[in-house]
Amino acid sequence: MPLILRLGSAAYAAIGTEGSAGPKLFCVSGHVRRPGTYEVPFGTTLRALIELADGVPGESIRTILLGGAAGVFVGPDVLDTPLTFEGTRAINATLGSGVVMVFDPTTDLVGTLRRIAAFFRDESCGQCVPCRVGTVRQEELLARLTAGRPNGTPADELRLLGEIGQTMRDASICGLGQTASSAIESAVRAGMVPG
Amino acid sequence: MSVDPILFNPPARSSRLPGPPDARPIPQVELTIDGASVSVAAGSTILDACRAQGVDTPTLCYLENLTPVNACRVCVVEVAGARVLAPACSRKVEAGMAVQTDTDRVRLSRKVVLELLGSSVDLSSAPQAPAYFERYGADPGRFGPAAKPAAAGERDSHEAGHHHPAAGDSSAATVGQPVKIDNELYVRDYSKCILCYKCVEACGVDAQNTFAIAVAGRGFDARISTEWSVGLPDSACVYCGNCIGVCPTGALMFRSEFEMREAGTWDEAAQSTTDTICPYCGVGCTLSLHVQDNEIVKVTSPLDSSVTDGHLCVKGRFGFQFVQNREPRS
Repeated sequence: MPLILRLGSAAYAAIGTEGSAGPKLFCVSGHVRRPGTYEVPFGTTLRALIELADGVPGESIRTILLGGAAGVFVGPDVLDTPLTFEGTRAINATLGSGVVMVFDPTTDLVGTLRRIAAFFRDESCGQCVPCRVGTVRQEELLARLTAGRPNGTPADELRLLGEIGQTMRDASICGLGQTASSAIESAVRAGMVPG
Repeated sequence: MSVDPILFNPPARSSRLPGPPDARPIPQVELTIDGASVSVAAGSTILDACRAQGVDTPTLCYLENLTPVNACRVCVVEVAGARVLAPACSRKVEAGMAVQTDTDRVRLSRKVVLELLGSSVDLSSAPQAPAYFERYGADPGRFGPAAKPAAAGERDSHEAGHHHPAAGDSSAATVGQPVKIDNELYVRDYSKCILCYKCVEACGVDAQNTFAIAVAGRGFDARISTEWSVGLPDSACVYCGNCIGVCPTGALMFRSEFEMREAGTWDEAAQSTTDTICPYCGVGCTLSLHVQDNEIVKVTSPLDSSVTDGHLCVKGRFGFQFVQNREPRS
């Protein structure tokens, strides 16, 4: 807001891209040398943002969680995506809360997914059925897969996870339930879940 | 004669007697349901429109005499242009709305909602459950066998956020717990509670205004509770039984019905229902007496009764024993 007053609205709108005007705060965390909150113009690429945080200490990036717990896991193949609303939409991701969490290959990804599932189970207010029970079933299912004790085949479990996810997304009352499966489903699509 | 300007002078009486207000047409809203054009009164819900059109829509937390809470999500429909599905029971119709009630998306959500409920709640005394399960091909067993039920009072003591991680042992968490039997009139079996909020509404502003119960806790620990989980005799409950009248799953049940079910003598097919007027006071509530083997086993009131709206008080609901005291007076 002070920036708009200081520069004027036209100069402010000139920052960033046509579809996403202005600067944007990103919270860069995980396997980067200098985690922190970085303010960059919309349209900065994911790669440039990570380089701003002094890059990755390890050898490579396994995955990046864009948008926080309700966001989407993306692979290192999309590092050149411009961070804009339209740019992330084009790769079926989201800017969400502005979180950019970087994971290198040493990460316990399934553990991270279970942590996200537990987060949504804890944060569900319990009002509507899809979220109240769906978040519990999602967490149980990941626990079964991790323990190597699936009900049926792991492929059956992933199909069931997809149905729980779609129902939470379509039928929950609020945004929490509607996005409670987002990161986990993206991880399944990226082959991060054994199955 | 001059008129005193300080005093109020009413206008002269009209010679015309006041008549009824002009009949104003109720504005209608045009929409389509499954492609068919429907015209319903403005302010109607999608559910009203579906019913007017003869489209059978499953509902669990909806009841005609209560405010819709759209919590169960079994009535969801697809509205063209909307990102997510809409609850038919509470979404008001809008001009030009295009509603689909039987798409793959709708059927999947309805099926999974039924499975989530069926796997976590005992629906054995919910009358509509079997037909819904069959219609949507719901299989609650997909989430694994039911986990061990909680001990008495265990779920009531859960603090928000204090969860145990999922065991990974293939079992599915449930709300299973022992029945609460703490008074002579009705029992509370929260293993059967789908958290539809109907009892809370009937106890609160939609009928009784007693506020003896509310939803406590959050997430999967959310539950219907009295203040500090005290037993009913210590709570604000006035035993009107309106919560029993609205419960869709039999979680709240007359003690008489509960004991007959336990003894295996409850036989709905052998019951008759007789409507009468409550003898206690001058309000004149309609009572429906449910009778089995010449004994009154429970009392309800018709939802469409203009006097009761389906609700009663403790006398009409439970004060029937005198009718069947057949011991001769000494």
